[in-house]
Amino acid sequence: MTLQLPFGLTGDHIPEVTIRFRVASTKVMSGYDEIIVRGAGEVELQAASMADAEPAVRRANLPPAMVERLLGLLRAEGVEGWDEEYPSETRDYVAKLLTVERGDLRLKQVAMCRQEFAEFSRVYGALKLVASLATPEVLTGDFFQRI
Amino acid sequence: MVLLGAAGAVAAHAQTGRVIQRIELRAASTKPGGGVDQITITSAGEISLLSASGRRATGKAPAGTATALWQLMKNEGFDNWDKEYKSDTSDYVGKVLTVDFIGGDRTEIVLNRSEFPEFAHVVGAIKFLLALAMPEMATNRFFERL
Repeated sequence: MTLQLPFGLTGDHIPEVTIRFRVASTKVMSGYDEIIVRGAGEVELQAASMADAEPAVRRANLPPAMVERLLGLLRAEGVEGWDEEYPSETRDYVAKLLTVERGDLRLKQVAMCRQEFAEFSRVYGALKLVASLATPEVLTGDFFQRI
Repeated sequence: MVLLGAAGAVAAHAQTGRVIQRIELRAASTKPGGGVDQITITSAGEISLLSASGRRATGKAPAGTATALWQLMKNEGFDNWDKEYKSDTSDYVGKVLTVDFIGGDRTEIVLNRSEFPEFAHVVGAIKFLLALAMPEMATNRFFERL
């Protein structure tokens, strides 16, 4: 079965795809946590204590097929139709940034500055699982502060 | 090893103190006779699906992924969630997330309102695990309510 991927991507494009998911406080100079999934078969974790601090980095291999399934799930959850920005509605101090790139081309960027809607949350959960399969410390609480 | 495997499973056991046997997610209309969408995942990664329309499917997720899912559920605070989230508006779909542990313990969460973020994170992880086992499950066409 050929999986339907978002943004007109095909299986041949997978090695060029990068999916980034960053969580940061909206406070000035706050640090961030980031999961970077590369279609070539790599997961990278970054955790920075301050915005301008050198992040701690972990890398691990990931089967490219997982990236394809993740992209399929993104499409199924409707990522192509999401707004680019969901501004803060109340006192929301955490911002989440989901970015999908193919090579140097940005295909989608979604800034979530309010409570997540369910589809966004499902993508978040799937990304966490993907990252944890490559690097279990995603879930131990020892590396990330915000994810 | 590509996925978690035995070492990860042992680590998970050490951290959680309980060993999962089965994770199940059901979604049903709160109206009578609506049928149930159901996902069952065993600790070995065996998956069985039942849709509200009566379709069935089975598959197997890669080794260690069910344990990773349970770790994610712990990370999302599953142990501290309420056992029931009652309907607060006109919510017509109820979801039940059940974890059975070896030894007979069971934790069941009943959600009769919109998914809160942590719950939805778990649903997303479950859906991804299904997509690992059965690529067609990434398309959202099998179930009516999940």
